[in-house]
Amino acid sequence: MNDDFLQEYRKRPPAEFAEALYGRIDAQRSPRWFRRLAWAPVVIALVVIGALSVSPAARAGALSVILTLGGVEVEEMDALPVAEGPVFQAEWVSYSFDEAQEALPFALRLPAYVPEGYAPASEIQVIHAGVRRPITTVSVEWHRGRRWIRLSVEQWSDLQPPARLLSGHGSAEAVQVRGTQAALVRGAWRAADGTYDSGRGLTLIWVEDDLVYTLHAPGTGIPAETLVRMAESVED
Amino acid sequence: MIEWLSPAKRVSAVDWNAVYAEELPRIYNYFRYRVGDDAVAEDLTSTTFEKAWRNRRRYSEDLSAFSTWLFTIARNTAIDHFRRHRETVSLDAIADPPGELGVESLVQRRSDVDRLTGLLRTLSPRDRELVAMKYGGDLTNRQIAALTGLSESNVGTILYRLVGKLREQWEDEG
Repeated sequence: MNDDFLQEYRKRPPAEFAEALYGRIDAQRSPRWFRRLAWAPVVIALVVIGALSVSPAARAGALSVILTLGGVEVEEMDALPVAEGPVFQAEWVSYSFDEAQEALPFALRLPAYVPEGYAPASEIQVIHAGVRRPITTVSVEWHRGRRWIRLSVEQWSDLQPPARLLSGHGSAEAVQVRGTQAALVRGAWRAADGTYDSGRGLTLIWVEDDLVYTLHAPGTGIPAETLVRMAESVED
Repeated sequence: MIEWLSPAKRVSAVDWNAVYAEELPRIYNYFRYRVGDDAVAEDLTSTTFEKAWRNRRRYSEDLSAFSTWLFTIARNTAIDHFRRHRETVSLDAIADPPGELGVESLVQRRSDVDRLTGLLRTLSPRDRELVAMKYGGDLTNRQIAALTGLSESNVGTILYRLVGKLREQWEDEG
């Protein structure tokens, strides 16, 4: 059916409008106080950032603190923001290891070392998603009874920044993994009220070869050194 | 049982620069088809993107559905707009009642855009929204079905009839 006449009504948004709206959104990308700090004298910035890094009370009092650890941005905050919109769940496709290798646009490399007693799950989960551009995530798990460790590897196309986490105040620190800086995040959000428990599990995340690696061990009691060892053992 | 969300659970994987460039024309034109007024369309587009930005942390995993999420916000924004401007809409309807836009008044319109604006005003709110989603928002029938709760085939049938009716009017008045 010829519907060209209906297409003719479309037009490009006026440039002034598009630029003004973009400017307003861009201005909200960092908390106002944080942006002001960026323009403050270096000495003042160092004093404030130093205080934030050593004083849990000072960090808890701030709205949010954005830390850049290697290729990872960690935004630390008091409570997980609650929004009004719908939450969508990803739809995963399960594969065997060989099938997953076929389905992935990158080579899946797994850790040679896994903590004692943890056995690999029989299926590997893959999601293909993206806003016009492909984003592929693969997830591999190891189980020990009801405890589990998950490795997620994501290829995020040319998205920037490459990885971003939201966590509680004082939860993130820098560690070295495979010759690059990684973010080690302690704790998890409580879904019911959005508060953070820094004693609930570990997450280790780093960027390597344009892939984002995330090792997540909730409630396993595994020490950070073990998780780092697991990360170090990822096959070259 | 307590449910825990890992820090990585809420990773913000949306490239906002790309989203802005790709989705702005679609949202803007959706509102133009919906309200028929460029200035109002700009206001509603702004509201939609600012809401989406504020709520971006809620959107984390199903990136393939990002357009659907954004259009959900746009639809709610349109509903709020029409609720707030109910009296104005009523007055407009009295001045130019839907379905009664005559041949003469259409012929007097100076441009195709004006003519199409007039034709769109003859549609019921539901039909106009479907046209706005399809031709303004460039959504597929499946996406429209997901947003409206109609079946995909129903969306296709309604749009087919609407386009036929509008084209007939368009050619008659051309």
